[in-house]
Amino acid sequence: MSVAVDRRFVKKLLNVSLGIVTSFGGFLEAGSIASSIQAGAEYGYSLLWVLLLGTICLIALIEMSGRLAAVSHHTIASAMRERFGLPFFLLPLLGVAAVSVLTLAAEVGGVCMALQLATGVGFQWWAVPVMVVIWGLLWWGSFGLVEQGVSLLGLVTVAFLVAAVRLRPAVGELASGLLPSTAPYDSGRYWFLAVSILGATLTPYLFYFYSAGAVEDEWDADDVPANRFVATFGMSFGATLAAAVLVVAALVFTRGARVESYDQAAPLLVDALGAWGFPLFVAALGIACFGAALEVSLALAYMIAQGFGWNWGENARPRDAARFSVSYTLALVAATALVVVGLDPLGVTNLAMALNAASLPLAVVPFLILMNDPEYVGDRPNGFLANALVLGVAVLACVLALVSLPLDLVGG
Amino acid sequence: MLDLVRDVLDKQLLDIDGRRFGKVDGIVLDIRADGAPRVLALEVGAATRLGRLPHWLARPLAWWRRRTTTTRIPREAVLAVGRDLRVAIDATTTPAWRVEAWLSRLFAHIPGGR
Repeated sequence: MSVAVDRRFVKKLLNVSLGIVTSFGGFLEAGSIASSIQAGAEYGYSLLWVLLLGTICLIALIEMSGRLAAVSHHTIASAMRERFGLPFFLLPLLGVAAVSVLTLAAEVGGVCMALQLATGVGFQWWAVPVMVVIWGLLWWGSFGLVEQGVSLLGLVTVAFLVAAVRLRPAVGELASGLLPSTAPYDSGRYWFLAVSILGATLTPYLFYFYSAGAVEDEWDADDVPANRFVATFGMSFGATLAAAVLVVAALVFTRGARVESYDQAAPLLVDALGAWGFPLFVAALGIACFGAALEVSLALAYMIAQGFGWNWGENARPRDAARFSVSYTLALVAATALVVVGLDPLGVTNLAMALNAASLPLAVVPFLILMNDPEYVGDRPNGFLANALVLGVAVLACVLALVSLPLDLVGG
Repeated sequence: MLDLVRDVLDKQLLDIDGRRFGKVDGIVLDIRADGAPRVLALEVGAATRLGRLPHWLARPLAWWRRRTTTTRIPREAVLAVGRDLRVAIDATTTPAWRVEAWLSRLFAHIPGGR
């Protein structure tokens, strides 16, 4: 009896640790790397507070999607379709799907840029091979394994943290960056980068993806405390990496330097890590974007299949989940096409993150309604603080995006 | 007492073997002589889905509506209403499975597709 309980406890402990490690290793992606580098290079530490705000909001959202899955056994997409009906559901579905395809293009582009930096062969040439590898991993249905493998490889992104520590940032300046401030100069660009950081931290695909995983792992109400723990620590540790990228960029680049391409960003780690700096940057960029590309492809297919009631699953064989497999295939083809035609990967990333921010209310408001509906979350609804925080940040991100995106496009 | 829109419409459908084969896209009602409505069947299909969309959105897709067949599930086939709705039919014999079956056959020719 007690042996059985102990074994269950150990298993849970292992799952929690694995959850934290994979969120840590899988946190960085094209958007967070790009926005942190640009923010650090142009404004030093003064945008750190936006990253902090975004992370607190992300923890709340991830915790919510896990809680929804644990209590109702619904994914976000299926609960939304059921609760709001088909016509309304199409609105968040199409909005989030369109932005996620662009995000996927940013991730595929990031992998291709890493390969270009490593080999000198132009990024466009890598797009199709990269797509085939991502597609193959999903098609052969081994994602459960691959996800953990890629997240463990993603621990190479710890290089950013090591670099940040070795550069000995002034603690007082760091701390003051965590306090909200307004732009020291060029406020249009400042708020555009704030939007990029919020969009990169709060990409909607993340919480749709998380809820699908929780339903697949058959979480129940007993898992709610563990979920809160994983969400809080996994996302905090992950965000520390994004902060480290920002800090390194702040210390390495001349203040105000515009980083307009990944080539400019490539020497980021050289000051701190010497000869290892360049290969580590390339590996971190490539692996982080590759892991994210797998997740975004699946998240897109999840949303569509769950919304229309088709079979789905990260390890489902294509013949058992045919329309699901077609969904990620088409998403990958569309995203890869954007890379093949030669759109600049960093430009696509910036645009994708701004649109992620702009689409937040669409993705988040119906979700918040679900999280306050006893039909779905029973006696575990959101508290006032979580509702206010998430709604506030989503509206702020959207308004800032709608104002600063046109300004940046005109200015740039 | 079931609230049709809250508890049935847009619910996940599971067939007799537990296959996810769609959502409840529509509910067919019959008005009896005394005026009381009665559920005749549930519907799954693109035509039913399009019928629920605003006119301006559905109209350009009218060609698609004409080319699809709607699956009707008689109310007698409904086994249980919970998080999902279980029904006593084999989904693979219904039009709702047509695209899935066609794709499955296609996938059999692609390595790893089986």
